[in-house]
Amino acid sequence: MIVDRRQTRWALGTGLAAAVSAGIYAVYAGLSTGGPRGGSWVGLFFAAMGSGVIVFECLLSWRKKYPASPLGRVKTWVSAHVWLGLLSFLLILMHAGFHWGSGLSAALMWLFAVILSSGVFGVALQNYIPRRMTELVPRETIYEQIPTVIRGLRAEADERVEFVTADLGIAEEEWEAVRAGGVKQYFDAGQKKSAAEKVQAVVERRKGAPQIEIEEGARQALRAHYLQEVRPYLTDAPAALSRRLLGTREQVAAYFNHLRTIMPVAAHDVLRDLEEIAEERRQLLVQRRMHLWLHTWLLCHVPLAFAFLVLTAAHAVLSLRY
Amino acid sequence: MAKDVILAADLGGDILSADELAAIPDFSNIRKEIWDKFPGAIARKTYRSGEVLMREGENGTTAFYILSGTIELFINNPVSHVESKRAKGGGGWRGLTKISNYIKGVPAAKAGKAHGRTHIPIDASVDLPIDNPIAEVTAGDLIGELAALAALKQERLKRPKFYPRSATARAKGDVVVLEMLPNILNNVLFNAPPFKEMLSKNYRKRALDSHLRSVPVFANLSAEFLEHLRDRVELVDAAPGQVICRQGEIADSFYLIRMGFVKVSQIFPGGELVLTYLSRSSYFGEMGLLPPVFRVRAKGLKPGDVAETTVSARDVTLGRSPSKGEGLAVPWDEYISREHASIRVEGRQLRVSRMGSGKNPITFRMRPVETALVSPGENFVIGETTFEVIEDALQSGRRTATCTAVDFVQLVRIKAEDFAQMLERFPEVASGINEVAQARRQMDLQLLGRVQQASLSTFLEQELMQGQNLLLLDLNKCTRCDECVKACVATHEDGVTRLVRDGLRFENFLVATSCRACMDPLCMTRCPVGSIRRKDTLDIVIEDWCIGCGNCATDCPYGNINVVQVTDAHRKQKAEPRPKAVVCDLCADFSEPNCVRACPHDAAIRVEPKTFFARDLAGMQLAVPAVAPSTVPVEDGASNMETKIYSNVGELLDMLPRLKIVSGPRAGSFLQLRYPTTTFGRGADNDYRFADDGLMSRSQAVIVCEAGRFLLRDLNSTNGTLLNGNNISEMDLHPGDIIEMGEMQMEFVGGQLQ
Amino acid sequence: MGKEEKPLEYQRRLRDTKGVAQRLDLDYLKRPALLALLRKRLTWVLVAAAALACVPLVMGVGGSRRALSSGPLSQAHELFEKRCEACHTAAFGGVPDQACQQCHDGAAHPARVRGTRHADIQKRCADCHTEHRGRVRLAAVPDARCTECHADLAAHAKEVPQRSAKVTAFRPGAHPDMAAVGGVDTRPLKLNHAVHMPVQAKTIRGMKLPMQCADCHVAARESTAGAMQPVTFELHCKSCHARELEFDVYHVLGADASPAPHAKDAQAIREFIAAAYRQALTREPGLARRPLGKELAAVGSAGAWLERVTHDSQAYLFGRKCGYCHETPGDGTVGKVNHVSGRYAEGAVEGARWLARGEFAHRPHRSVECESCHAQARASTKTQDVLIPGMKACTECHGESGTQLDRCATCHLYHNRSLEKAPARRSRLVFNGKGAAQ
Repeated sequence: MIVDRRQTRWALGTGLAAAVSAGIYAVYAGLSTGGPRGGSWVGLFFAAMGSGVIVFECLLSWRKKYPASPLGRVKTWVSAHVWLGLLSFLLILMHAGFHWGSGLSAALMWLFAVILSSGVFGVALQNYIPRRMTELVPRETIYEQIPTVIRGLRAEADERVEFVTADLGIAEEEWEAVRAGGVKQYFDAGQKKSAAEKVQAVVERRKGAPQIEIEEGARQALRAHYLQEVRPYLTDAPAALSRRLLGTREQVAAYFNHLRTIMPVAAHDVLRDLEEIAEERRQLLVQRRMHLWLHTWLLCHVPLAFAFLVLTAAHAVLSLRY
Repeated sequence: MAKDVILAADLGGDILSADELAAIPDFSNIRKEIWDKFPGAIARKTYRSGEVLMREGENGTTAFYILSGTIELFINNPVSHVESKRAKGGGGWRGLTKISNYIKGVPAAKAGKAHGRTHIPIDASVDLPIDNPIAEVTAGDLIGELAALAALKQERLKRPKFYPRSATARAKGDVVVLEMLPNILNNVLFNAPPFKEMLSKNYRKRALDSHLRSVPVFANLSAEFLEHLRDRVELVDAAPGQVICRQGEIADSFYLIRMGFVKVSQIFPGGELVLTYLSRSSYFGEMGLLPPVFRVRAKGLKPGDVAETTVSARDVTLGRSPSKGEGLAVPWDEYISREHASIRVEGRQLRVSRMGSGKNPITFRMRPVETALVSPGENFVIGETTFEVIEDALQSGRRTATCTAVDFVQLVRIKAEDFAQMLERFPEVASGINEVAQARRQMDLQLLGRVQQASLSTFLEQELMQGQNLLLLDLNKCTRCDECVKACVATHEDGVTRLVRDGLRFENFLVATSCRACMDPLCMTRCPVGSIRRKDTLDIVIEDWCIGCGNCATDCPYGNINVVQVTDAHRKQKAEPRPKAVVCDLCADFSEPNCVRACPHDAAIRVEPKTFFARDLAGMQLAVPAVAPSTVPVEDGASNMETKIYSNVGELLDMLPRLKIVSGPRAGSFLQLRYPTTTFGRGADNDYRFADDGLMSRSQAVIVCEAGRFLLRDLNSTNGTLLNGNNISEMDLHPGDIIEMGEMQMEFVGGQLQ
Repeated sequence: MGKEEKPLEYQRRLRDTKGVAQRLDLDYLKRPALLALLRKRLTWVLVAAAALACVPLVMGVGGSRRALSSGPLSQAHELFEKRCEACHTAAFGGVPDQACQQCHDGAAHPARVRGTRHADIQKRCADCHTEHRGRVRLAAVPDARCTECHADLAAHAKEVPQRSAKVTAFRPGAHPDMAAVGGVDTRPLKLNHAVHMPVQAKTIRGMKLPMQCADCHVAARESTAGAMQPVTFELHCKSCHARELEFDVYHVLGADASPAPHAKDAQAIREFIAAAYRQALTREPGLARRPLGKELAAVGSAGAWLERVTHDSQAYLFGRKCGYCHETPGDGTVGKVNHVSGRYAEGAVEGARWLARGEFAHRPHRSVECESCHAQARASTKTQDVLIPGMKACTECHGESGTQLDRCATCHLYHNRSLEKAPARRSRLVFNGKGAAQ
């Protein structure tokens, strides 16, 4: 959820609700004998409101399961989730009379505090990281697809380097996947075969002899640089050396500028493509880091929230029981 | 290579010589020269019972003419629609299911098939019933004609694209066929009228019924009327690019497409908009044939006394307070009785007759009459009120759109009088057609309305602008949670996403890989079974009988159609997964696209790119404020400032011709040039208005764009317009030229206008 | 391949919409996303853990339920900390009074509280004695618990006495004065505090006056609060007023004459007198032959003498002596004198205190001069004067004017302590183990 002007209404509404409940609480705390207690009627009222909100909070996961549900758009739910979540903590504090309690209630309070702070942290991240990511990772892809994309980049880089060096002696295993975006379908086994043969012929030609003529020394140098420095970078877990060499945008540029100085002009097209590929890979590294930042807090927030829900239910039933 | 395959393929079987061919009785009337031209283009083949002639989805270039025997045509049972699953749940749980379905947002089960079709069109003279897609063809039939002709067309266009077979053909008993290459088929069809006549006769005899009936609105035609039509319909051919009917022409016939694709487009000032591509079993031309629609506008003496009504099929009563449902109430006029006159359409005119209860006569052409036949544009007067008759321009007897053949098209033409007769005899047909016409009209108006709002010509070439509905993700808000994709998967029961959250960026928006509902949907032009089509709205749907040939996916320039393996979960036995193309249908069953609905962060939006970017990029619009020196402020609703819609984002900006203001109070701003003219001056009616520039005339100058060059013309301004320091009256512009007018100096940056 | 082929054309990398789409694997959604999967698993694990943690709570294994406690118990109940069911005998609805009454026998709140339309509600013990508030004295009920209702009693109960309808604090205006103040002591007695405690010191019949309050008003030793022992003739009056029981009007009995008993039964006194003379006559038969008093002649016969002496003595005692203290018609009948009596306490059981609702402990006030509160003591000349000091005397030191002992419970002993259970029963209930825990 982005905190922007559109959230003003929510903020105002939450503030109003908080003020009203604070008013109720003040009156109640002032009037009640022996101080505010969770078990009094007003305390139970706060408890009911608070736990109602908490249940609603947990329903967000459920709502996300049914995207078409007519019960409001998800973004409304998320706004409600955030704002009511803040409110619910206040309600629960009022329920507890601003005491931390002991035993189960203290545990619940701690849990709630952790959940709340992780949620607030998450909202803060969601406001910051997407912008940062948009800025830093122009070539981002879907997080889960990063290995696939890297594999593609690797194959592409191999292919491009082979234009200069001929066969690199690397055999990538075949990768069967349903490609997005529609790929030519062959119903005929024969057609499929002939299409594959055509592709194979091109591959063989490329591997057979260098297609871009440069002197042998430069060719060997490119080969060595590629195999030792660039290609290890185009794997799922880049080698430490490559990471150091190609760690930042500037380093990537500097590295390839260096290569350009030692390579003949004929190979510069290849180098530029390689640079692009390396840069894309570098960005994917950044993307992965940022994506983890964006999503790992949920690992804390969500499971704890559901555990909290269970314990809250136990607390409610057993407290009413006694 | 392609040429070899198509025109000189080795057919196998017995290659027939010209003499042998001439000996075949069906071909007896064909001139011998034709056979001589293409040796080896026809082969006779014999198939045993059960042998397969062609398989659905395979690329085919040949047509089969059946000499003897019977051939079974079928396609794999289409993946049945999801409704069958939803209907489940009974007993006491029904209510609960209903509630939970409501909460989950499962759309209500449709009353019938959404597509309303009963037949799947295939590349033969018969259609396949949708429930049991098997049909038979016998001697004298031609199958695979469309594929062959399409292959020929592609060949001519030097595009080696193949046309897939739309069904599987299997011999039922021993069969002898002639396999024909497209070149000879073309020649035979177009140069040998007797053969064609014969085919046409066959068609009339066997396929017309099913073909007509496969169109939902004709499903109820009686056999007797079909018999009547059988001899009266005409089979018409159209070559690719041929205009079948032109917008604005007087309508004279109704067309049903038998084969091929027809592009329906409307011309508007500055461009052409493809409304839709029609394929087999679609019809067009009905709009011009429907009874015309008139509007009667009543005007009293006082300024506020105005009333209006439309008159079409039903009679309308005119009066002070007509009691019947459809009426034109004129409450202000005391000289008009409560129910005064009736209005009815008669041909292309309106018949107004005084009713028994009407006291005062009708004054028509200055004369009191009992009844009058009023033509559009004329008035009649009752009491103190004048009634104007206006013909609804879109709904008159003229063609509303231009229809052009995309392929080799075969049409069934029904003449206007037969059509009128049909409408008269079958009111349900009339009402059905009326409904469709109404929907089409609505859509046309909507589309045209958009066109008129935005100056499209520039964007038509731009790919994003080609889309009518883009899925954008605001990357500054998107947390990459993939909820949109999950929503998409959850929405479609096959569990395949129509949306890939990747693609190119556009400013801070990601243009997600999902159907854009293009203006000119290229994906539609090559579907062999007509399953991809545009719905009444913008969305493009792929119906269940898709055979998974992948043509649409290959044709989509943006990769928005995927061919996936779909397993039919609803069939009893475990079925083999079949390929099927899937495309975003804009969640037609739902109130809004679920990807948008499911976005928790308000990042996903479905927008019409032109209006969306026009609004969002207002800072880059052509607003030239009166005072601002360098930056262009965004002003909402600045009435004196004309804001034309341009999306000068990214590279587009650099491509468009524009002027850069290099000196004067607005230095640094860019002015976009318009097509065809851009005017400058102090007056409010200019494209660029410089109200504060005292040196500028009311109409200072104009830049005309024609045929790729730009012409600067001075409009007799007081202080003149200078080009590179010379006072000019008219001069060509070249990039780098400095224009001086008023207080400003501008540099012509160049660019091209499409 | 034989002939020299043109090298393959090198095409620069192109990034277009379709290309971007085609590099992706459409099936990725079918594979679980690592983070989501982890989240889901973690959720289940934690939910299961939470549910497991609830099991001992629900089952009540060991002292696990202590975790549910909303706070530590009061000191007295500390040993129930792990045994919730000792008090929480009923599911839902809090601790019932029966649970408290297993050990404590206290009268319930005297009045029912106006509840719903249908029934009045008896205040529950737990309504005022709130547990789980830490190591506090449970009996120390805060005033607010009382004023909750008593601040506006009419809203909470029916048949509200006018004078105590609104009690908010212990101060004039917010609390009615003691009912006894200004009342009239109607005991048929002629007590004159002023005579006993004259302003000028003097000696009457060898007694030094003024007397001290404590001469008569002695704190009862067994009362923890230091309630006063009742003033009785035997203990307090007799030392001075024994003469008032001397009946020997003719001084015939001599030195060994004993005063009449301070009996409530007039007949007994008569018999005592008759017996005394008879005894004297037996011991000294000559008595009858002596003239009586200032008479010149003896009565004559012993029988007549006896009758005469007895009769006159009785008349003398009843007619003159009793009337010294008692109000009597002279025939030996006196009104019954309760320890506490008077108009205020009319109908009250014997032994009832002047302060019907409150309890005053003299002991804590022992450093205070009696008269600083009982200011009228020296001036009172009539029995009917009730010398209970008014509220003002208290608020001199207490209440809002002084120390912080402004607690309702300081004076108002809520429960009737006489109904408390014997200690033996109490201990059995606590220590007979599991039986009580059920």
